[in-house]
Parts: sequence; structure tokens; C-alpha cells
Amino acid sequence: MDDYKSFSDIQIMNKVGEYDSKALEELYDRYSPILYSLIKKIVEDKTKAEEVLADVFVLVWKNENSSNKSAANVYTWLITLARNKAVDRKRRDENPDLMPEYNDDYEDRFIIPRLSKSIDPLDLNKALSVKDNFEEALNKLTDAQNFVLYLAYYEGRTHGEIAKQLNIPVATVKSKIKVSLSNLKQNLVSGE
Amino acid sequence: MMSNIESMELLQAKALGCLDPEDDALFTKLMKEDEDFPWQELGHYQNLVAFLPTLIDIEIPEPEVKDNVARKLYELGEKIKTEKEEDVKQNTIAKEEELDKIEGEGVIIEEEPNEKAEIPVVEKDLDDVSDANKEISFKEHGVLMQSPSNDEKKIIRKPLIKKQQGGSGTIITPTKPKKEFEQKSVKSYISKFSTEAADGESSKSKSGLIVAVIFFVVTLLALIFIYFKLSSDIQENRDRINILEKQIVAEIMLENTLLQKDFNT
Repeated sequence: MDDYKSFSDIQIMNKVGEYDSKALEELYDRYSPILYSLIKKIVEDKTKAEEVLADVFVLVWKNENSSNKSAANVYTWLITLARNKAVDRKRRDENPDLMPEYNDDYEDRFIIPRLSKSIDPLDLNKALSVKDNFEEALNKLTDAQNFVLYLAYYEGRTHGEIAKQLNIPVATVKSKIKVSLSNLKQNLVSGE
Repeated sequence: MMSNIESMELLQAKALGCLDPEDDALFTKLMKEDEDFPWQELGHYQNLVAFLPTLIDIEIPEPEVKDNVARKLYELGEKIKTEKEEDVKQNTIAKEEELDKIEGEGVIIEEEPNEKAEIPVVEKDLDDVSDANKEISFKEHGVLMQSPSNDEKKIIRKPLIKKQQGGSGTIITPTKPKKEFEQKSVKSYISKFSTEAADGESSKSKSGLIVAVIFFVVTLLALIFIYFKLSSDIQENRDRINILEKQIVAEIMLENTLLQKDFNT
């Protein structure tokens, strides 16, 4: 295991791609705290969060091809995967009759992340290193902007659902989300 | 130049994961078709959104969760194994039924030579069933997991049996039984052919062995015969030499005696 601890995220993910269980264990040790915290914030239940976390690592094991495609950015791929899975669980628990059947096709389309083919590399250490700057950038957003980001990311609401919840037009929500993320990006760049 | 995606305010929403289904479908379509698709912008926003969880208070999951992951992976391996066994079982039943039907109708099947290309796939699938028990583990936790073999990897993504979750039960829908029956038939044919060929080879090698043994025995007998023949010739010649020596000695003695007499007289 000591060898694996010195491996980069990309090296670890490549090993997972070769079905190396020790690599998966190292990936779990490295990422389970942040993934678990994210999942728990979304599903708001300890037991459910634990189940979803286990499901996420099973998906990592099963979808080694997808992860290899995003091998340059293990962090964003894993965070997005955990978020998608947690939001799906939350929505299924809230509206079991309205959700489509969960099968391989659904999983491939809505759960497995499709990262941009020209995304910059990012790993856990690098992400944590910009935490303070990011927090500062986020704090510069208005409360309304922060709120729509919260509803979309942690509550798993879509444009239409946010519009309905806030009783505002969908176009306004779209615009608000676009401006929020654009400003956040701008704040982060100018703060660095 | 502003692309369609940007003008429709979909890029940031896609990165945030909040597109309505119809917008998501449109986004996917544009991603494939739009030549000016802003891939780099999308990447920036995906990374930006992924920073959000760094601000959450980090909690460490219970150690049992790790065991649970190991258990789930083990179950995944078991599921794949069971599915493959079930698949083989169903194919066997289908094959038997098909054979019964063929026998009933008195139809003679002619094997298609071009089916041979598919044989390795079937062979591997069948081999996997016995080979699906490779163990790997989160050994530190004493829980066994299974590592799918190369062929099992294919099956994880493209299962021979398509599983559908629904309600409390699980529906298992077998796929391509006819195709697989054909593959199994070809395999059976090849297997039978191989056995016969192997039998032929075996009898050939046996007769070769017998010929070799006979040749060896005959050669050995010939050598023994030559040995004894030469030995007897040698002995005969020796005897002759001995006789000749004795005759010579006798004649010499006789001559000596005669000479002695002459000398005395």
C-alpha cells in the first residue's frame, strides 16, 4: 500500500482501470472523506450516504473505461459522479414514481460524468489548495446567486424546478445561473 | 464567436448539472454537431463547480463503509458469475430443445464455415464460467472481492443477460438465445471434429510406435545374429590357427628329430 500512497491520482486511476483492488482501496482512502461529505450533504442521511458512497466506488470499478477517458482529471470526474449518484438517490427517495427506471442505459446517460475533452488536469491536493481562494470568490456572489447555485448543485433541482420553487420564469433562472457561475469564475481568476 | 450553446445559456447549467431533460438532450445533440462547441469553456466550468465540495465540513465515513464497498464488489463478481451460469444453462436448454425439434423434423444441419469467426468468443464465455472465481481483496479487511477477468470486463458493460430493476423483483431477460445456440452448435461441431481428429492422430501414433518397436526388435535380432556369426567365425579361425600352429610345431619337431638322426649317423 505504501507504494500506492506515493502514486498520483492519475496513476491510481490507471491501476483501477487494470482492476487492481489495492489501487481502488487507495483511491477510497484518498477520496472517501470528501465524497462522503458531499453525498451526505445532498441526501441528508448517514445511512443513505454510506450506501451511495459504496455504490460510487462500485461504479468506479465497473466504469474503468469512462474514468480512463477522464484520467487527466480524476478529481472532477469523481466529484461529479458522486454528486450525480447522490442527487439521483435523493430524487428517487422524494419522487419514486416520477423517476425513470434505473438501468445500464440510464446510468450511462445520467450518472456517469462526461467531462469536456479539453478539461484542465485537477487532483484532490490541487483542489484543496485553492479552497480559500474559492471560498473568497463564492462569498463575493450575491445571496440570490449563492442560493440558486445551492438549489441546483446540492438540492439537485433543474431550471424548471427552481423556477417553480421560486415562482420566477425559467429564463430568469437560466440567466441567474449563468451569471452566478460566470462571476464565480471571474472572482476566482482575479483573486489568484 | 458565440456558439449555440453559449447563446442558450446551457453551458454553465450543464456543468452545474441542472438542465431540464429536454435541454439536456439538446445540449448532447449540439455537443456532437456544433463545430464551434466551447469545449475549453465547458472544462473550466466543470472544474469550477467541482470546487464547491471543498467548502463542506469534511467527515470521515465509518470503517464499515469500506467493508461494505468490498462486499458490494464481491457481490458484483458473484452476480456476474451467476448470470453467466444462468446464461449457459438457458443456452443448454435451448440447444436441447432445438435438437429435439430438429430430430423430430428429421432436418440435417449443415454447418456454416463462416460461423467459425465467432467461435473464440463463445469459447471464452464458456471458459469464464469456470474461471470466474479469481479472488482479489481488500485483504486488510478480510473481505473477499472478485476481479473480473478480461472477458468478464466485457460482460460488465455488455451483459449477455440484460437486467432490469423494477418494483421489488428483478426481471432477467435473456438476449440472443438463437445466435448463441448457433454458436454453441458450431462449437459442438468443432469440438466433435477435434475429438475425432484427435482419435485419428492417436491411432496413427500408436501404429507408428508398433512399427518402431518391430524395427527395433528386428535390428536387435540382426545385430545379435551378426555378433554370434562373427564370434563363431572368429572362433573357427582361431581353431584353425591353433591346428596349423600345432602342425607347424609337429613338423618342425619332426624335422628336428630327422636332422638329429642324420647328424648322429
